[in-house]
Amino acid sequence: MHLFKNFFKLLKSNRTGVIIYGVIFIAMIIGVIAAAPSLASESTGPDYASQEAIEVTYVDNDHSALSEGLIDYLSVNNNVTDVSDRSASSIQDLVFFGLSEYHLTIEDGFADGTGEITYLSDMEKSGAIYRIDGAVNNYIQAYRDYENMGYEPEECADLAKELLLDSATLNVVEKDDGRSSTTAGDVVIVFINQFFPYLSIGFMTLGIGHTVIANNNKLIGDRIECSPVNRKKISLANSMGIATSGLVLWLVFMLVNLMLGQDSPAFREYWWLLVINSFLTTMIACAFAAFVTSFDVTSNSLSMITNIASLSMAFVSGVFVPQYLLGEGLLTVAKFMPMYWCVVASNMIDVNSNYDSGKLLMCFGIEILFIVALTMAAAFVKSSGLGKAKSAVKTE
Amino acid sequence: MFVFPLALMTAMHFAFDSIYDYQNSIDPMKTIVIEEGEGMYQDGFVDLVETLSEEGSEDQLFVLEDVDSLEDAKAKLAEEEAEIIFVVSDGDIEVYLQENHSVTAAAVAGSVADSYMQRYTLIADAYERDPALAMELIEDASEDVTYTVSQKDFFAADPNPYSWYFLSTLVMGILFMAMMGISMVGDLRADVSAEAMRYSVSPARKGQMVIVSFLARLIPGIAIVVVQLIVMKNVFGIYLGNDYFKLALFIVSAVMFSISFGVICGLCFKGNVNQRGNKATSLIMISVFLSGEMIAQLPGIFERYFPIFNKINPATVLNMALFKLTIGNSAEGFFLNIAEIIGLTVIFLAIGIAVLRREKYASV
Amino acid sequence: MAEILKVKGLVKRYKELIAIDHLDLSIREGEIFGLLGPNGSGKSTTINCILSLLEYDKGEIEIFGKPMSPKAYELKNQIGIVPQDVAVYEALTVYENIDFFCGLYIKDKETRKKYVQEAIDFVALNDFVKFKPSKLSGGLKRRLNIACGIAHKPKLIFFDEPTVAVDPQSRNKILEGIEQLRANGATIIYTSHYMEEVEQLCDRILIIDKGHTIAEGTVDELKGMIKKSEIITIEVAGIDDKTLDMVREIKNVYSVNYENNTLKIEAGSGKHNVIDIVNLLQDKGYKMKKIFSEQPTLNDVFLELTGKQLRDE
Repeated sequence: MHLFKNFFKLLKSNRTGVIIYGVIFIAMIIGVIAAAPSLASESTGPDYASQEAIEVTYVDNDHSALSEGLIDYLSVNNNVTDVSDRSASSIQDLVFFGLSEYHLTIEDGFADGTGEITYLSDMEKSGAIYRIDGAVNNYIQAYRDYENMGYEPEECADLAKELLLDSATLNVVEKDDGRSSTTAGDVVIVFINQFFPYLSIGFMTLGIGHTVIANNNKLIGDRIECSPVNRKKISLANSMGIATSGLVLWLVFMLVNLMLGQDSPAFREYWWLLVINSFLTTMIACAFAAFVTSFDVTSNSLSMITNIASLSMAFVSGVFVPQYLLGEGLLTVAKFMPMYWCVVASNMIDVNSNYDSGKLLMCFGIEILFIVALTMAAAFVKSSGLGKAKSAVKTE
Repeated sequence: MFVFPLALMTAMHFAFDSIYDYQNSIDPMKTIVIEEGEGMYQDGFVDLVETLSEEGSEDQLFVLEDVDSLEDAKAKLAEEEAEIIFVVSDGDIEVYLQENHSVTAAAVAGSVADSYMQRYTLIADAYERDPALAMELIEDASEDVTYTVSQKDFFAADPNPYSWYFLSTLVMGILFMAMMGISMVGDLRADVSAEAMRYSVSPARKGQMVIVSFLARLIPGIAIVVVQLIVMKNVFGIYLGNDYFKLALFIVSAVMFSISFGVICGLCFKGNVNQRGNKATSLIMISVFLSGEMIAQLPGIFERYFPIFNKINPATVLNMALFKLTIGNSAEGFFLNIAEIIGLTVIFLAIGIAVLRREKYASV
Repeated sequence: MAEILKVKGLVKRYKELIAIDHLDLSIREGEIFGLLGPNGSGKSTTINCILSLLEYDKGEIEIFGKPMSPKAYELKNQIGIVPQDVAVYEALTVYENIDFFCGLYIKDKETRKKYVQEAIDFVALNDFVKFKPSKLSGGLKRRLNIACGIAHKPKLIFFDEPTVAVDPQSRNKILEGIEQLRANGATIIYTSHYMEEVEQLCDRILIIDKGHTIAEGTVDELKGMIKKSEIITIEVAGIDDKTLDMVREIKNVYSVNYENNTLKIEAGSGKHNVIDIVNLLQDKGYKMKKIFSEQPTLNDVFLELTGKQLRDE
């Protein structure tokens, strides 16, 4: 108990790593909440307005019935913003970061045929841009056609808008499993659970690991070695310290899930999956931290190992980039990493993935195997003295 | 400082691979067309879909599947063996999609159906007013007229958002050179280390020592970044532009900023050199994360809700400078960001040199 | 007095280098035993072998009559160690450090609290209990190091060069403290290369060099082992060679050196060495300014037994 309490006294003084990952976690939550609505699809009904709605920006230098009519038409089903007060560099930023998915510049004289209409997007050849660009071209064509029919400019604009708002009916064929579409709430839950493996490994290894390696100090180690405390008790105290910290992390994470999951049908249905998976993920993080700190690592080495291991694993395992976008070869490599299985399991709550109870059990099983393997590896390194700090005793 | 960014970029290179190309393209989708009744309307639409299904064509959007009835088609859709069903009847088109359809499927199917419907309606309206005009419209319909022109040259290269991760990792590596600044403080402040005490009591001029110490770190720092950029360009294929003067300016400014930032951190934080380094590391990691190292959309989110943050976060400022220099191809954007970096560097260096030159301390 | 520590035939090798060569040691209860030798002689290696921190190749070590081993927790419970380097947690305060290390031995909270306070009083760190080690001077850190080693009131305490880099005031305090610990019933093993401390403090001394026992005994016994038992220094001007030869022939005198009007004579044991020399010089009409006689130091003992100094000058 004495050693265990001392662990937390040392943790209090080594809280830098804890703070880093705390801030990262909070920033992640805020970022996901802000981005969630644009990532989610809405209802299964025929109203696809919000699903299709994209961020459009424009600079209108023509101010003709055609250009104004076009903007008016686009505003019906999209989020359209006038950015004529922004510089070209600023507009570039908007496009690159996805704040503007489609930027239009209407030159002076466009209605007369002397100016151009240009567009800018970071995903020019994607389906969404195909649609919006098609809509713009269709509108202009319709306007011109009505103009040729002899209508006045304002009438052309109105008629073109009326014509183009008449669209085909889109229907969705539902699956029998009764799973509904992804909501913004679902997106938040899916993403924070997807990020959790990265956060937990970083938090445990860097945040808690510093405390463990404080006990690895050679001089203090020798002093403790001379005491009547069994080496196993020291290891046990460290292990319990890591496990307790992990438990606290998991509980905090569950609380966050509970708070954010109120608007998530997926969470209401699959909360048990997330509870088990996040618990196993935390245990993997604890075991990983125990393994890394069983070696004689310095503070700087620990930071480096944590950053390289956690970030690399995260990129390759589908934490930052969804797994369905990663190549097969890469995913084959990722299967050897614990983070991959954590992500596969947590993603099953997403309607765009297939929930498969057999596969879920397999994921849990593999995660447990990783926990056991890492724990045994840590114990082996400790007991074999492979990672033992060379004693401070001098060869006098 | 050298290995970590390259190791991370290697993982990213394999992770991102051709994601951007995948997202920035439309793969032909399995499509079924069900005709209800017979007529010009239906025939015209089927011809259109067949044109858009021509294998190997640049405009191919669909892969046509042969199915007899709507029920069979829906069953295929439910089993995810098809993505789109068009049901075309006289004057109307209905589109059926899978439950977890992609935005691309909805957008493309909707766009094709809408274009056809709207064109047909327009021709019908024109026929009522002027049959000759309607004939002209029918002839024009076969031509693919596009009014919008892509501003492709607005960016110097494909505005691949995933390239941000690479730029951000390079900037992270540069910012970690702040540790060199902290070690400068450890070398020169007698109240921080015993080695510094030796320097302080030696006859060497302190001012000279500060400058030499700074240069001794600046030169290898620049060399490291140059090597990393060479690897980024030649191994990972990241576009770095052709303006080597501006690139050199960026490298020198960024490394100088990083070291001087480290000096300021070393002077402000308490504890021994390691403790100061740990605190600086935490600050840098947070700054780098908030600049989009792990979530590339974060700077965009800040730009929308809290734009001032992007101007004060050093990692974002450096990232933006590099972005403007390379993909952004915006001299104005580049120089604005670099000016901020240089301005801060000058301030940090001035403070750093003034404080490090001190010979006497309140306590040692 | 009972035998607290017994070492028999201890051998420790590092490949070809023999760090300790068949060392025997016996320490009785209540004594302060000094281990004296130059740097690299094997003092710390001996201590670390006794404490089972180092594996050794041959030998037997018994503490409190029982064989010592890494798992001899009953024995470890009664041992305290004050290592040469300050071994404390930088992240904990003075109080927390002493409390932690005391807690490794004393489980009962109330008892531990009392012991910790007594240790703080003992090393006079009362004004610094909330400080972290980084805020303490070198001398204060040493005192903290001692407090951590003795807080649990061990019966056998190892002090490994506790006064290295310590100011004279702190050093005196430490030496007084060690005396106090012995008065309280502890047996102390004290290693050092400062002969003055060892002479002042220790009941018995083992002089060690290159892992060998050079000599063992009380201070007087050690000094008695060498030929030189008195060094006589006389300030006198203008002694001629003939007189010097006559001085050399005096009984017990075995070394005469005359330089810069100072006559230095090394003589063996003899009650009248000074009188004989002074009488001779007076008879020859020499006027003497200063005369003093001193006992040999342990350095002299070491020098005579090994041919080198205890400390590099």
